Amino acid sequence: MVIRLSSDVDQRQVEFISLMLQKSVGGMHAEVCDQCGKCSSACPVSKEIEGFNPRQLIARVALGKIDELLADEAIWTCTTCLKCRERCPEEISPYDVILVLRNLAYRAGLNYPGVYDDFINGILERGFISEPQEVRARGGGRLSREALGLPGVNGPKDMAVFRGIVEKIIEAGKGN
Amino acid sequence: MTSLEYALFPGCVASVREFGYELAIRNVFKALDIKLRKVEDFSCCQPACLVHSIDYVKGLALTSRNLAVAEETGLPMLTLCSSCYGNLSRAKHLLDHNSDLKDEVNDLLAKAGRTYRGDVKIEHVVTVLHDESMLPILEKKISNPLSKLKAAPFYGCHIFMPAKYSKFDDPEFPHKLDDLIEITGAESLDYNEKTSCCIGCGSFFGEVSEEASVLLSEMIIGSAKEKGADCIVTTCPFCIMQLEIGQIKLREQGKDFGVPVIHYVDLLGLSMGFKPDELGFDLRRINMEPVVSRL
Repeated sequence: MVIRLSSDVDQRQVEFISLMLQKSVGGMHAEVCDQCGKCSSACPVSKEIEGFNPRQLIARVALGKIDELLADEAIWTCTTCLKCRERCPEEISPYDVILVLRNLAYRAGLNYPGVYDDFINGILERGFISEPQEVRARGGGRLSREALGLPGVNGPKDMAVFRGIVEKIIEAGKGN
Repeated sequence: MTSLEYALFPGCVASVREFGYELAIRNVFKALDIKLRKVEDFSCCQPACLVHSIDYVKGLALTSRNLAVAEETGLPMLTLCSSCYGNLSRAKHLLDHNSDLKDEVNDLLAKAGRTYRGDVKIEHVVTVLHDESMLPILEKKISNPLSKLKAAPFYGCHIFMPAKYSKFDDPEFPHKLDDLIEITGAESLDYNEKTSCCIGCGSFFGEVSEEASVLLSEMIIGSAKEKGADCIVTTCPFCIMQLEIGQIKLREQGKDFGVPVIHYVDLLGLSMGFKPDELGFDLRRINMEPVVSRL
């Protein structure tokens, strides 16, 4: 069985997906998926979460059900381990397709996981996901980097300049 | 050929929370006469599960900025994290094979006064130590062979996925971490989940439920324990955090596995005669007795 991209899909979305895929995987071999299921059998998330299935996800893309997919929590459930990409005999890569769908959902102003904003704000503030913490020690008390003789964590020297790279990234996703 | 000096890229997890590994790598590499330069200007590697997921090109620009910073030092980059290695290698591969994308990323980097050229070398602790020039040196430095210890290698997913980008090892039947474990005198075990994903990205950043994440930890740790593992040895601080927290949650459910999860630099350090506290063992969430009692 060969599934081809349906002609009902919004052409701009197809162009965006194709462009993103070209950027990410150097161009898909063809818009074909044999539905062999190697991606799903490799997927660690599929093992534990019923309903998360990369093979079906590609079939839904091929059938043009993009709007439905963009609103589906499933696209944010992928753990990005890349096993599906590694094992796909057609180099279609559900992983890359999922990243593209996430990018589309963000541009469409749809929900993405709330923790993204927390982590991204952390990176915009100091370059890392958080300040160095004081960690509970097995022997009691708390240990800091300084207590272990480790140098401080500085992050980018000029944070304003650093933030310029990803200017307004959070606001853009909220349709502002 | 191994370099005599590297630009150390510890990554977020080892910088802000799991800094026992930064202590271990600094102590172990000093004893191996390999210098690690602290570079002030690095940021988070920017994993594919974060900014890339909402803005692919900006995400790549954040990753590539670190590559540009490393290029300015003229040194190869060294990371101790499977995810950092995978993300940095992936960005390098994509930019080196697509000049339009590279131009687009460089336009963004120009705002931060940087340019990605493409001549940086990215290394992981395992790739450096597995170099043929290093193996005889390691053998000489091992003063305390760990012959009583059985270790289950856990490679971490991003280190070799996809193999097309990173060329780290065979993604289905890897051997480099196993080889390095055997050098310390410990036994490297074969088990089902050796090349599994810890699912850390999905549970920290994504929508993987805690229940699913704990079930996966149980599968990995249970599989290692069944083969008689005294500990799990990884290439990644994020995997360690995930598998330790998973075990704490499992203990709350009455399933106490008690399998310490350590980084390869810890194992090597022990075989070179370092004391557990010189390797940051005091920061571990799981009791290290199964390892320490077999030294």
